[in-house]
Amino acid sequence: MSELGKRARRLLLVSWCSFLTAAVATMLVFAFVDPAMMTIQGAESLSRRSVYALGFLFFWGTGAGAALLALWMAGAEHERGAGP
Amino acid sequence: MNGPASAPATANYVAEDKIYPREVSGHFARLRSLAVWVLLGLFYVMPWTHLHGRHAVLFDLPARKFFVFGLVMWPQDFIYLTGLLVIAALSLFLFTALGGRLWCGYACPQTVWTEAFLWMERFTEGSRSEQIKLDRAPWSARKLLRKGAKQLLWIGFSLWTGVTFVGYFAPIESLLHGAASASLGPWETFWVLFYGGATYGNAGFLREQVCKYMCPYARFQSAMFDRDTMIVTYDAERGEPRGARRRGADARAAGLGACVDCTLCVQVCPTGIDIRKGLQYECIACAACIDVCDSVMDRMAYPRGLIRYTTQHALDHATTRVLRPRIFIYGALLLLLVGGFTLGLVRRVPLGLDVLRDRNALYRVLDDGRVENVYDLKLMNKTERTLRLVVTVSGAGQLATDPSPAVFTVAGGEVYSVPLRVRRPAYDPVGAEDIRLTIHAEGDERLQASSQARFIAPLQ
Repeated sequence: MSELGKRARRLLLVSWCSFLTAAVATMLVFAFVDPAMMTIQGAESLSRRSVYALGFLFFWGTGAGAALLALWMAGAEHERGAGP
Repeated sequence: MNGPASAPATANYVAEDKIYPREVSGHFARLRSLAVWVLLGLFYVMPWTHLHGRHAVLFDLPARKFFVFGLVMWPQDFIYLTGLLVIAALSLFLFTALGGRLWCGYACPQTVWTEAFLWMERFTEGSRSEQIKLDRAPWSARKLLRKGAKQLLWIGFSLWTGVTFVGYFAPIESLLHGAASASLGPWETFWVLFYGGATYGNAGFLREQVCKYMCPYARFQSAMFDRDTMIVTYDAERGEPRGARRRGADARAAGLGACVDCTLCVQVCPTGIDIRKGLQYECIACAACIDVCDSVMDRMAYPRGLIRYTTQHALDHATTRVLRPRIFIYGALLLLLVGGFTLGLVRRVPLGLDVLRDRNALYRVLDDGRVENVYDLKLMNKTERTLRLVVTVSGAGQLATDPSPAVFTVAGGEVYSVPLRVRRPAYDPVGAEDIRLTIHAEGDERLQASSQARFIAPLQ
């Protein structure tokens, strides 16, 4: 890992934290929502397995987006000397 | 404790040299080996274990059913999973307050898999010094062979881990069959590679960096610590001033403490810290430094325990109290939750009933002067056998079902949807009322579930 720099570590942090929240969100949402009962844009051909996986990837993506944005903005603040 | 909060934010991102933890033997290393064998053994064996003719543990996501040691959990039983997670978290708090980072040192998957990967690394590349030499050496046939063998072992083990992980969600026999005949579904392939890749990356390369930079528990565990918590610590009072000496030399005459400054405690540390600098948040309490220091103390004929498990209070020559308010609070909460969880599980009824009012009409008045409401029932048979379920209705008015009696046969593990008509004399003074629909298994009144619904009648 010695060759990984600051950017790689930030990416790790972002992907890992969003992974954790995505796992929890997937569990919670699909405990109450049965993919077999829902239609997505009129398409009903997606299997439960696909919806679970796509749902997880979706939560992971949105979580990573939020974390990345927050980190970037906190970093910009830090460079101006205003933030933590 | 030196938490990250007190360090500048950029300190989280210092580039580091690769850490080569030195192999260590001793009491705590044996304990960890035992933990690795037991925990990894359980993980790899469980998907193959059968109970009553089906997998002992199978989280069948496509069917939305979890099979756990003969119990069949449905999405409606989500509360049990939540309870289990809360119990796990509280146990972690209790054990941390008592014994420090026991979880990190012996039970965390990161520790356990890293240990297994280290074994493979030592098997192919040799001891710590041989590994350092090999890394510095130019590429040769021997280096290629050793590095190649390590990668082969690592990748094979990771893939097997990925297959095993997916084996918790799909029968592992059919998974292997699919993999052998190259007919594995796209999602199975994806998850096998995903989990295998994560194992390879975390245990092969990231290792202690996961604990230092990625683990949330490492950041907040110090909140559970107090001066009576067991920590791995160096006895500076006894050890300082440190210094090299000949064996058998009189340390006191030379003005030296017990530490011979051999730096073995630093070499064995998987996170690369020097325990002699005091308690640090990087320390995962693996106790490798205790084992190695004890072996040095034995060789020097000094008493063991220069580095040892102890408490801050004991180091300060104060009394250590095991029973303290936080232990009682964590303990009481845990007892309460475990009690509630067990009671809930014992009293869990493997039947379910959902009632939805028919949306087309509020009510219908029949020729015989009675009023009729229609409900859509979902009868859930969570047992493994076919049941005949009897639906009864109760309320303030003279209610009757149609058909009467309403008996439906529902196969084991099935959800049966059926419309049910409930009738009552129309001009009952009760008016609209809340009614209760109850199902019970024919011949077994204890198997019973009920649900409330609204019965609507015309105004007087």
